[in-house]
Amino acid sequence: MGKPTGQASLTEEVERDGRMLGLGRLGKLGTTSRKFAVVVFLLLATIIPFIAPSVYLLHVLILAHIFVIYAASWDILTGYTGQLNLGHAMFFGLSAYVVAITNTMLKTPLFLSVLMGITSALVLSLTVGLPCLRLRGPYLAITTFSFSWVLFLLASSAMIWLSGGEEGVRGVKTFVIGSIPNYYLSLILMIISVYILYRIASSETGLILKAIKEDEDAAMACGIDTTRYKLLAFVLSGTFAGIAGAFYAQYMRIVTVDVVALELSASAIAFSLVGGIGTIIGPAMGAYILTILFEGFAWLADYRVFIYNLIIVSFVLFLPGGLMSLRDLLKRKEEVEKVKEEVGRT
Amino acid sequence: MIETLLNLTVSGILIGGLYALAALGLTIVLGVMRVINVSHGAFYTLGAYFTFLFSVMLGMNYIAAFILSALIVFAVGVVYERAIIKPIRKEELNVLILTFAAAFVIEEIVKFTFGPRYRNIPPYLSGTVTFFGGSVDVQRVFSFVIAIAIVALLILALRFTKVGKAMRMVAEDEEVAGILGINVDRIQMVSFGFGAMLAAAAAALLSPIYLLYPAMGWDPLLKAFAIVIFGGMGSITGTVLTGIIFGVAEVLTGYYISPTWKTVVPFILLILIISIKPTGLFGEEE
Repeated sequence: MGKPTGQASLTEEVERDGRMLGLGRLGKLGTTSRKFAVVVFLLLATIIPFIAPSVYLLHVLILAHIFVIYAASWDILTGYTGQLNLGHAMFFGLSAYVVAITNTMLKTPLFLSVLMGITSALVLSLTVGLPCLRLRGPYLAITTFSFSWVLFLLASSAMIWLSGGEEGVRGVKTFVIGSIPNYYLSLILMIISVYILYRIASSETGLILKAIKEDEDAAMACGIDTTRYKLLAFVLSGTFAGIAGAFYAQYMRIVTVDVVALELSASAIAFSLVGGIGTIIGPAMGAYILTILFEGFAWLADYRVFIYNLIIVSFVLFLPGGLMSLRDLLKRKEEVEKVKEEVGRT
Repeated sequence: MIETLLNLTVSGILIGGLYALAALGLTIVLGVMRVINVSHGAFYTLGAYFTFLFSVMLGMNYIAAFILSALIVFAVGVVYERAIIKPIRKEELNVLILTFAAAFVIEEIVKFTFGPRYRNIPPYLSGTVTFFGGSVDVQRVFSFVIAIAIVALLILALRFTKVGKAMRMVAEDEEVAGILGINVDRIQMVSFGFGAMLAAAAAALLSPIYLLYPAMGWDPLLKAFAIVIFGGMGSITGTVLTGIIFGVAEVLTGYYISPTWKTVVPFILLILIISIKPTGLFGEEE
């Protein structure tokens, strides 16, 4: 029995992949065990400020929430649609800088600054996306990489009068004061963002995005306007990264050149690979785990870039599906055993 | 006026030749293996630091240090290809992600070994020569001449040696090359090593001119990407000419507009070419 080929099998495969990832029924959260996990997580997240009211812990968790949005937004473009973005920090960083600069230098109200920050990330995603979405091959990866590099060059040298370079832009206003209000704000923002991204990914649109990743020609042959969907994924990705960046700017109240550094782009990839790319929930999990690990143990900070990237290398080589794929791997092993038994019998 | 322009053009060409050399390794790996190597900049960093190790820390002759570090980085490239590229070569997305992350791993190892501070290698040759009324460092002329000699040797080797011919055949069509009895696997391993070695050579030639620091590889890497796409992917002539064009464009921008903006020039050119003619100046239409 050979592997069936052709159009029908592709759709089947996409659907099967979708089922395996719990996306089979549109909009549903999947199996009961997963629902249970979500409920437990939400409960824990809600009561944590009462059971462990440590400012430092809450700070770490707030950062984790920000990076969850950031990682999930990378995933919708690269994990789902297969369009590699090597410079995701540019959306996060541009938004953060716009918020900080408009708020401190032009004295615009914070609300307006945040809107401008997110809009700028959206506009940037269109600017980067439009010229290269019609092209195949590595153009997108190189273009996103170059754009983020240009932003880094501007922030660290050419436009240092505006960005403050290493010193950064200081004194950004904040929506709420104190770690507990900020904690809940970030938690709500994270839940809403991840929910929206997850719903889109589980919808028919998500299936189309996955189809583009698997085989763009076949998707085109099915009558899908792939360029439109790729652009949609691009804009979603850029906008949500912008939301994360804007929240970061008002929470940290200082924006330095780190927000556009290549290391931050690599972090998005590390988060996603640990959790499992193309699942939204996986990257969110990865961001949580890695941020808590590295922000929680201060002495690890010096080795963060090294370990993040070592993690990427090892996961690509040995566990490309991330932690989310472990269950499927075990299931597949069982299936293989079963088939082996059957073959042995006949 | 005209003299300044000519003088600037000369310095642009001198630096552009080195850019071409740095980008050429990327072109060869791309042509023979169809792999975009984001670690190319890390090999550049390794080349510079090995040259620093041998010539400054161990006090060897600069030329010997140059050759030794090129050979070591060749070996590093070969090992890297076997360990990391070969298992996943066909998965384009994963290759890009992996080589991106591996570049950071190498950079961090360099940082742990040599420390994060700036280093410099004293010029091998001192003094200046005069071109059109302006002066140019002898070191720059020397580096340029060596770079162009390496490029010329490479082009000749690709045309006339057995390995070079095999590399061109694999670039043309992997399957047919295999049928003709070429050991495709080994040719790809060697090509990757050569690619890494060219990065190291460019770094060794540039390191008496620029400062060394662990993250030094990203700038030439991104410049090399811009050069490779601008010149047309896989085209050696395109890469060399574009390298020189970029060098001149940068020097002119640095003089007439502002020195801080010249680093951005290659990327403006890159975005222009992607919007107008994505196959590049010398690329074949698909």
